[in-house]
Amino acid sequence: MANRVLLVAEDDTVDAMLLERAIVKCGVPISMKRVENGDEAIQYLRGEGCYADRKQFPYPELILLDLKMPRVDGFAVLKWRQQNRHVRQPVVVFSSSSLQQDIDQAYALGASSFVVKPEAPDRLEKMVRALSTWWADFNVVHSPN
Amino acid sequence: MNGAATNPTWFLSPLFRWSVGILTTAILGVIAFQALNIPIFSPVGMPHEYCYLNEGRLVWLNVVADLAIGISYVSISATLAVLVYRASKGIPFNGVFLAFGLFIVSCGMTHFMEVWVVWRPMYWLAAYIKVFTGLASAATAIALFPLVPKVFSLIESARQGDQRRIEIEQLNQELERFNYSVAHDLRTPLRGIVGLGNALREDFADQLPPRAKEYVLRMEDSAARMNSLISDLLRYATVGRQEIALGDVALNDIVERAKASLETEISERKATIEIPSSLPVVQGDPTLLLVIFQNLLSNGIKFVAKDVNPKIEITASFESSHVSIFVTDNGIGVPLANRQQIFGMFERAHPEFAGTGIGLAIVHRAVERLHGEIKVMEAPSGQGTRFALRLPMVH
Repeated sequence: MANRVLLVAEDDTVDAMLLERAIVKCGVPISMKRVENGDEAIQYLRGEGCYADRKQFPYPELILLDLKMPRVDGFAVLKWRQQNRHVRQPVVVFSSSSLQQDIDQAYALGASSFVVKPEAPDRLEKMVRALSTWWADFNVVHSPN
Repeated sequence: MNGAATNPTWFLSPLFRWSVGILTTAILGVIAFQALNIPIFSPVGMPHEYCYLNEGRLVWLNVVADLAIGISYVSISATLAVLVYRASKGIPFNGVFLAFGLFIVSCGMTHFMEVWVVWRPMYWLAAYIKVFTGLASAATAIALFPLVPKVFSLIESARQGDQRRIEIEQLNQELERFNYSVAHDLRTPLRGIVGLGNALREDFADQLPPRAKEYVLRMEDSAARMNSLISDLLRYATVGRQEIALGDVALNDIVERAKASLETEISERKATIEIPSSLPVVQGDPTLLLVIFQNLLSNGIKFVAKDVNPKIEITASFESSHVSIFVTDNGIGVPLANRQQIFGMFERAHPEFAGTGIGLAIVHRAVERLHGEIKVMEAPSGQGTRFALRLPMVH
């Protein structure tokens, strides 16, 4: 199975590092591309600026979106995605917040799923495996126009 | 008020407009009645001729109207009396209300006398009643004036009270959000430490000597411990501040839920928790009660010697209006010296066991908010601890 492209919007470098390590360790067919805030996430999805080269920055089939990012946060990305109907890959909100209002707002803005960042390393690996099985193996992607 | 002569917009003032309005309505009313042939002015010589010999219709019109007014007035004053006596604490100025009621009653009496006097010439009695009414109404009128500023200040303080309640609620919510943010921001780097430590041990397993691995492991443990501390502190703050929803709570339901939430720990330690089926319904907040039992049960499972299977027994003892719930375990017990402070923050009677020292502080705070009592004592068997939780019961 070819690698599915996963776009991860995460401002914390350690969190991103540990996620990438988990993906490699679990040996799942996922290629991770990282952006550090909402601004870059939108640019990547648009293929603008430094992300214009689709060979280097392929269009993602799944998005993992952190909520708390500087300048342009996860909610802003969700809002933008809601207004741009052609952006159709599933967005999994991946946040350390378990506040009910954050969860509610994320879903109201069209999140496909909400996952609270696991604290224990083995739970993170379990999540990565589940993510891969569901979204990369089973889920059928909506191809953009 | 500005001089009417100098202020060109005096004819737009409310007083002027109301006066014009009433006057216009009165004039139009008279014209209408005349036009429709509804009599207003009677063609008599001396007023009061209507009483006996002239218009029969007029007599009955007056009698019926006076009766209706009299009955309504009596009804109104009766309602006022009931209002004042029922809500005697809540209504200020009830003296004025009573005076007003008296005035209305006597006013009603004068109307009844008007009816009576059509058939019986008790003119003196009628006059005395009218005098009494005059006095009562004068007294009410006089008593009413100083009340006006008092009423306004009452309305103002009520409005301020509402305002303050809204502000406090907003402040609480902000504080809640702030606490959550702080806890969240403190835990993020901890998650990093635990994750990186774990990665270090796994990815460089063959390059790290055992001592190094041990250091890293202890580092991860410290971070994990700090994480628990932050969680518990956040829970303590929430328990201390969240709004309580006092209602009837079935304790069996709560204890079962608490037990279910500790499934993992129970199976790990092979613990048994005995719950009687007849736990009462108490008055309390379900969230707080759940937190209390979760902590007590969790303690009962944790603070047990390594080779012993934890056994927790829940029993109840009923009084007339309260119930005491006993949670008894077979653990390491609380030494007499620590029993006073065990509910304090960061108090740990047995530091060799994992724990933040906040769990029982949370329980104590929750019990306080429920207006209950909690005590700790030695288990009757001699080995273990017994917590006695006293709550108001609902029959």
